[in-house]
Amino acid sequence: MSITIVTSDNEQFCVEKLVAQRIALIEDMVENAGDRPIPLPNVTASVLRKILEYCEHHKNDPLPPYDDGSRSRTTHISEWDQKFITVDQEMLFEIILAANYLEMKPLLYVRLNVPRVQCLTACNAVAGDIGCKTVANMIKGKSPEEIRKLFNIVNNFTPEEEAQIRKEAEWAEDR
Amino acid sequence: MSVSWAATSYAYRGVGPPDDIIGHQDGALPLGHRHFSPTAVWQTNTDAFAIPTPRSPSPLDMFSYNNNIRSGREAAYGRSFRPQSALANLPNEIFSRIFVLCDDVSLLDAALVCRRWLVLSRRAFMTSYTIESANDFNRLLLLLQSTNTFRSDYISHMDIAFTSDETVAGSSAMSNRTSRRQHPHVPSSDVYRLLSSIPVLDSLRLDWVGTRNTSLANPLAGPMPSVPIPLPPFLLLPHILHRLCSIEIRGGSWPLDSLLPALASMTRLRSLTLDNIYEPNTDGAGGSPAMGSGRGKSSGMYRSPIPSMSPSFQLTKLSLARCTLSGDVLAWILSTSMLSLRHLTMNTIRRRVSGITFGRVLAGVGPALETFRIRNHVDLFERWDLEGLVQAGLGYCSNLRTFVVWCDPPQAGSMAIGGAQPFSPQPSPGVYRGYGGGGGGSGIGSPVSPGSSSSSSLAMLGGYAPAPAPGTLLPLLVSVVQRGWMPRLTTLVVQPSHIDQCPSRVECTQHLLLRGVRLYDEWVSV
Repeated sequence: MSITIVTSDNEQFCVEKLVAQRIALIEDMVENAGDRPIPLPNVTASVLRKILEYCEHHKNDPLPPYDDGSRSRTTHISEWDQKFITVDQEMLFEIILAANYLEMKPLLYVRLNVPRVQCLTACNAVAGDIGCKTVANMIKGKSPEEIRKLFNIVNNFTPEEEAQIRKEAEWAEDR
Repeated sequence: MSVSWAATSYAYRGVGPPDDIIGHQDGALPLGHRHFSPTAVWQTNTDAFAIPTPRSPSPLDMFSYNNNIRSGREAAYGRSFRPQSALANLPNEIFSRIFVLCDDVSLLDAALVCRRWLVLSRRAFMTSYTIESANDFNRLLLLLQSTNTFRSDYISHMDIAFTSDETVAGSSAMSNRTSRRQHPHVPSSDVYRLLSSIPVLDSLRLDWVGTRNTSLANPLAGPMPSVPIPLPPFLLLPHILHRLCSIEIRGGSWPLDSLLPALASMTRLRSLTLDNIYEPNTDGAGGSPAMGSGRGKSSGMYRSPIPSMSPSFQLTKLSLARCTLSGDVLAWILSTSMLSLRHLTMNTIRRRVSGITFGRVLAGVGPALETFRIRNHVDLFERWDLEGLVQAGLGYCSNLRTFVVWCDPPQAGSMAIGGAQPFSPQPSPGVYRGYGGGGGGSGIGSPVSPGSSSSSSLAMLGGYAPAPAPGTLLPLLVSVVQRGWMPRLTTLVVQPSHIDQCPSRVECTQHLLLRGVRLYDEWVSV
């Protein structure tokens, strides 16, 4: 069984239901939509194509293990995912935003069979989590100046403020 | 004063009207007179003069225009300007998720990127703080007291391991350095001081609260004291009570009933986890005569009247494991959570003889339940047949999606319930993380007083039902599913021995698959 998804630029995708149901928002809409196409006004065709590629590859994956909600520093990305997410920054930005839109709905917590924290982990596993891990990996190990250069961010600190923040960071370094 | 539109348009253009049209209600003013009297009326006479057409804009050189902006930015920031990357414009909530994945050193570097990143990275740095030793505690105090950007209102989750006043009292004769090395944990009085200064704590996880490492607290060293051990005072801080959404206490030594007044004040609490709470002086029939039942021993026991429960106390998740509870207390905890409780775990709960049974629990909270995990059922199910399950309220669980039934086999020489090995609330020295919870999934180590015998422990467990015979549980649950009592069930978890010893396990599995129910044989520690 397949369902039809319409993107913001009016492109139609015919998707296997099992694949589409990896996306919680679509899974939610399938029940109400019946045979009608499901509109995704915030997602463009190019981005949806990438997300569906991810869902197709991971359609048989089990739910990720339970996360107790504490800070997790695991940023390991599998080989296939690494290849999948090797895109330019613009596309990475679009994928993260789209994944956020498609999965982080409050309805998600009600629908799935697992507690909220696990739901968050489960939905994060679809593209969004990979995107966040990729950005986190881009940040890790870089100096502030290198990060600014990477993202073209303007330093809006005064020299005094910067010195103060560096000094305060020294207190926390031995944590 | 009334002014005509023409005068208004002149004023807009920044030029005055021609002198010859300046008028007065009594007549025209002389030319050259510039006095505007309050009663002056502007006369409009478009025939008298031609309104100049606006000057057409000169063609703008787009290239130089952009260059001007660029040079302006360069002048402002002192460097060549390039537009920000799209990734830098991600929403704050996504950046928060990204920063949570970063290590501390990266977060400290990220704070120096820009003002926005400073706030987000500091928040990620502080949002969840773990205190495992006095060093962690002192560092956090230092950060909060000595810096401006590490703020206490960023801390929303606190994880504290081992608090004890008794240990500090016992180690007072030692030098500070010696006592810290031997007792690296944080005393509850310090935790009280710290939590007093954290205004927005939403979630609190405590690993072992109560006495330890003293002869009084060590049940292996002798009988437990008859003096009740009070609840740690930091759990009674007003702002903690009114703010906390989630509390998880794994391991401890205090009567669970003493928590009830605090619970009654936690109006925002949505998730409650109590695991491995050792109740002192509970050996002997009756245990703590809390809730006014008055059938147990009275000397030295904690007594408290039933506090009134706020209607806004509506739990969504309740997990009770390896602690002693009366049916009255459980009914009281769930009295206002009938329509809100979605996830319930009961793992090797011991019920006191006094008071009502646990049998009414499902009838009350069943309609909202989505996940129900029960291990060593005590007396929730009094009979293992269809009628018994109906009477226990399983038929009310119309929203149930995950149902876990786990019955540990009894072990020789230990408690019949829970298959427990001798339990000691005494944490191993040097291993001070995760002791209390034990992963949350093990049924081993039920909270029986080590000083008490199996018979005395069994005396406390009033009327618990025997475990179902091997091989009978799975067909029974399949028949429940076939009757449509749990129409939304998708996951069923049963102990492996009950599946392996079931003569009709193949048929049962097929029936479940036809109903869309997956069968697992592993206790999920959620």
